[in-house]
Amino acid sequence: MHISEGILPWTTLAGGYAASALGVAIGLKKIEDRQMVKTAMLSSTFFIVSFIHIPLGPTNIHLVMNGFIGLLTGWSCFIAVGIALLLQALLFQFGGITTLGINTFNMALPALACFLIFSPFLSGKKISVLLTGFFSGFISVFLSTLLLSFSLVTAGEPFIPAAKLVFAANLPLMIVDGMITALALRFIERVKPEILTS
Amino acid sequence: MKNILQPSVQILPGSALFFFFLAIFLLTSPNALAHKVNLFCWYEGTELHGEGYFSGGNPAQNSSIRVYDLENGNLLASGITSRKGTFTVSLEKNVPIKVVLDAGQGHRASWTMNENNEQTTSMEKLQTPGVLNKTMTMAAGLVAIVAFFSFLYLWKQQHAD
Repeated sequence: MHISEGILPWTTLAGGYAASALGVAIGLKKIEDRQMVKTAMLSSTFFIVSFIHIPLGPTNIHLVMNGFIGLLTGWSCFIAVGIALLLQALLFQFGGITTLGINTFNMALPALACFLIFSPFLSGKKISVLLTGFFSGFISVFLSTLLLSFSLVTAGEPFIPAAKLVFAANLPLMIVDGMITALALRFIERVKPEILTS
Repeated sequence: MKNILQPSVQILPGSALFFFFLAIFLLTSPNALAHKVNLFCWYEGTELHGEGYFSGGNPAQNSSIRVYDLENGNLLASGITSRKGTFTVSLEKNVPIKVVLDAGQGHRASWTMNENNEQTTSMEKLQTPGVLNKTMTMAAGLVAIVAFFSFLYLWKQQHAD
């Protein structure tokens, strides 16, 4: 899910930075004091779950959980994802500094999309929290993978097979991520339901 | 300004549990033990044969092999392991020896044969285990996240009016 340094053309990198900067700016403007702890917590979650690798044939995939983060943080997801990715790049050379913008965009935009689509369901309780969780996890990873593949395609013709491979490899992850997001949300609904609606 | 502490205190127990299980998962991950290297040697006439492999069963390819005289430490022979992790070196005389396989990145194994033809094998790890470093680095990352949001909180407080 993380694009490394030295693959993408500078136009994509710059575009990623510009779009992410916009997202972070809106996030900074919208974030409220009472959301600070929650956002920090979810940023930490995002930071950690990327290290849970699931072996899959020749490669391995890792949890993203950006739907979960988006649902709970809203517009602040750009801050949460951005800071976690920055630290992953600095401490673990996971991703990279030049690709920080595009990586943040690829993972935070679907998170935001999930927030906009699914948060009414969370507060309205019209469908179960398990279903909401599953679909937000599924759709966020789906969109992220799609954006990731598009980003790779901008690197040129030779990267098209890689883009297709990345997409195929992440298909099972959509289901896994959806299930884990569903369980995490149900857990929160039981122990502290007010997080879901605030 | 009101209820600043209330949400944070109430969030803690559930999240702490979550992180606890994550930490357990990471610490018991099989990758942590994946890179111990083993070395076994045997004689066929004056030739010394040997095989190096990692604990997962993968051969230690292209690893350097050095054979030392156990008594004075002189280098008697050296070589590189094949793709199957095997090697063969010719020794001129039958003396007590120590064979050292260096698979790089601090993974070394040695095999000795003393004057009574007793064999011993040992694994040497020159670096601290990677998983500990990783956990420490992760902890540092989490502290950095908390620090960042604390900073953001304070900054927002100051620029609120």
